[in-house]
Amino acid sequence: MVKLTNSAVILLEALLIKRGAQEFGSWFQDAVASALGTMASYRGCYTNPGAGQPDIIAGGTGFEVKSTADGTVALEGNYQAIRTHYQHFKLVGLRTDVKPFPLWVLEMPKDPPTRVTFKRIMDSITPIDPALNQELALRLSDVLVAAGTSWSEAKDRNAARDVLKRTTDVMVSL
Amino acid sequence: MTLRADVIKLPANCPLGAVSIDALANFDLIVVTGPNAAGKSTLIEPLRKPNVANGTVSCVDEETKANVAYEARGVQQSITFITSTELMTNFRDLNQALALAAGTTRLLHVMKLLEQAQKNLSKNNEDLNSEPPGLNNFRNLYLTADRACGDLLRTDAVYNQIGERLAVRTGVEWKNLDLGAPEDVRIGAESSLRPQSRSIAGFSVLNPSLTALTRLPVPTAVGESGASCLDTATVALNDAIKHAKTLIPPENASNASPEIAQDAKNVAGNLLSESERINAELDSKNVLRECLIRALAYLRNQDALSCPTKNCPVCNGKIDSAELSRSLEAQVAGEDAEGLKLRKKLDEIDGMRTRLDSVLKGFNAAEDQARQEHRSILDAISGIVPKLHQAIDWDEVVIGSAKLLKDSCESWMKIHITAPSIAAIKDARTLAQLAETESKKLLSTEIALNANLGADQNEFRDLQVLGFALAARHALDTLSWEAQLDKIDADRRSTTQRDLWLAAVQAMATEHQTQAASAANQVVNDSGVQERFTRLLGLLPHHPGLQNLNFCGKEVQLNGVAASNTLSEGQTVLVNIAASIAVVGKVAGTANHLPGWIVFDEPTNALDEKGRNQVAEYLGGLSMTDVPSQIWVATFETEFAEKLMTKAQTTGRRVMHVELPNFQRGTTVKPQIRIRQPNP
Repeated sequence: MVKLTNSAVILLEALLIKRGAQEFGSWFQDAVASALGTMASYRGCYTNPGAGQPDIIAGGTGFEVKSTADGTVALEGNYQAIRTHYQHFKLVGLRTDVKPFPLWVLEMPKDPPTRVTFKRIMDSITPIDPALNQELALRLSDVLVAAGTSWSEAKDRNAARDVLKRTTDVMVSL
Repeated sequence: MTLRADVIKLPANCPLGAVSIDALANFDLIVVTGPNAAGKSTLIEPLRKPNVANGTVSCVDEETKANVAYEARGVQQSITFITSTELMTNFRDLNQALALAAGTTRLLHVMKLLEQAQKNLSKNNEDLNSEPPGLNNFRNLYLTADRACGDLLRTDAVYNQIGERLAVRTGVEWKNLDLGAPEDVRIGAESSLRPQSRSIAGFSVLNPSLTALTRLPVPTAVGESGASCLDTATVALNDAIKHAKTLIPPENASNASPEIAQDAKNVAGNLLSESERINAELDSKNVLRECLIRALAYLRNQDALSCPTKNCPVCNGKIDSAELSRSLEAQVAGEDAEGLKLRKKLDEIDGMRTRLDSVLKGFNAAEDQARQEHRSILDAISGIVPKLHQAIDWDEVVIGSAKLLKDSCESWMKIHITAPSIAAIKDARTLAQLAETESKKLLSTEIALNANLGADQNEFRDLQVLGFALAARHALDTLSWEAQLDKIDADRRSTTQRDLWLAAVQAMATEHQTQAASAANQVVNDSGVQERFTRLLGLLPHHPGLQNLNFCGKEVQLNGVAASNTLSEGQTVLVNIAASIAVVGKVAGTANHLPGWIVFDEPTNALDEKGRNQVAEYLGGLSMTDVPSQIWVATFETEFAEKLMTKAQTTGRRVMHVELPNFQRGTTVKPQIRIRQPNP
């Protein structure tokens, strides 16, 4: 579990209030994809809107992105089957019921559980990937605050995605 | 068991001092009197709330005759301790009496504690998830500042890139700025990059001279200039002079003047002289002709008289009259060719004189115009030249322009200072054009200097808004704000468990409340209570109308309607006394209601004498059968007390009168005890 910067949390909090939990989840997923894209290991990753696939795919790694208002997420769907298609499968979780919003990156086992509760100390079945957790929190904070309200107050998700792309393009080039 | 108060002991540190009154259990009516502030309420306070500070009450169990220390439980005291205020109002407190009777009071009390605990726990939840102090201000500041950034990327790198670009263009050094630096440092660094409008040194000083030169009083077309007109006039005058001179015999012509105007005047004078000479010659010719005509006429006349003239009448010489006549006729016949020639020349000379005069006037006018024009240009240029001196701090390009123009002006003056000429006009025009060219050159140089000013200013604005947003973000991020995740999760678990327990207790409470309501109905509808109430009402003196009242628990009704608003104050007190006693009679001595007494604290407050008498008569008239309990009355009304005690004696009550003296601080009170035996 890693804390995002205060400013990034303020942007996410404002977005959650404005857009509601469901839309927030989609926008947050885009933000995570953008942040991963700034990392050399996951450059070129892409979001997958289709069912039966991870939210974000980066080569042999699949990412499922979840935001939760009670600390627990249900991994409904055929996660067991999806899991087998990827060498690594990671669960990115953000708890919005706790301030400031904490972020987790968990390594999913070969046999994923149907429910995961995000706690400070995770069970050995779904251990935290500490390095990626730290790195993603850092990158995500950087991307979010660099895009700022241009992202969080964009008129729609496509416009918000454009802002993220512009942001990460420049950040990578710097 | 039912308890009767036996001993009241006040502690030494209470206002009245260590007071003890014994053997109270032997009396059925205890009346405490004394003036206001004598300490009556203090004396009876242990009956309501016994404790170390207020004092204690020792009781006698009526069944076992054992001594028992009285401990007020829950709200027992509210039933047996009735104040004047309660007697004047409705039966609010009887609800508690009913609840007590049903045994739910303590449960209700626990419920209240639980509800309070629930509220406190909820509040604790919020505290666990609360924001650090001041975060909201930082949040608003950050979001507002961030919005101003528009499409800019909010990174330190972008901020410093803009700073570097501006620094290059403004010639200022820029060091990467730490956005956590104090605000004045950041603003100072940004202000050093503020793009300013730039100008060429000296241009503003030189510019008026340039403008004046471009506006030299030179005609647009050379042909329209005075100099050009003078040139034309000079040619015309030379032609006229030349032509005129052909009409003057050389021997009569005066010497030519170098000044053309003077020359023209001389020629005009010569023409006049020649004209006069020819006129004189023509006059001679006319006279001679007249003589010839007269001589011919004389000869003809003599011939006609047949006396031809043989000798000249003037010289007397011999003449041939006929031949002479023929000769004269030949001389006067026809045109005088020489005369004609002379007149023609004379006309030619006069025409030339007129022409010469006209041309000369034109020449003079043109010369005046040309000189005026020349003077204007000369004045303008000579006025500008001193202003073209180079200032030390002027820009080189301005100095170059000034020098060029100064040299040109001085050259013009050197060449053209003497007289107007077309060349002077042309050179002046060239000078004006040169000034215009130089002015445009300098202006365009200055515009080029400010070519990026607008863009720079926009970029400077970007730098400022970005700097402000990044500083606001930095301030926000430095706030300590940690998620108390473990505590929140633990609290959530305990809250869930607590809510389960609360639900269970609430279910129990609801059940008990139902039972309490049922019990209340039972008390209200209890035949004993109703019978006692009716009987007590029946004992009310002088109030036959009150016999129809019904006791319905919370209120007393008259014919199904609340009677509280229709009763007088005295009636209200009497009815309340009856209602209180009716309920106490039901619950007194039960497991939850031990005390066997009822206390009336100042029951006659706000009543008039008639009312006081009625209360004394009513309360004193209640027999031990009517109220099998001790009755305590505290009052400052001595007359009321006397009537009450006298009446009570007649109904068989054993009366103790406790009289308190005036209270004096620091002095232990010694109450006067008087015993009154029943006197049925």
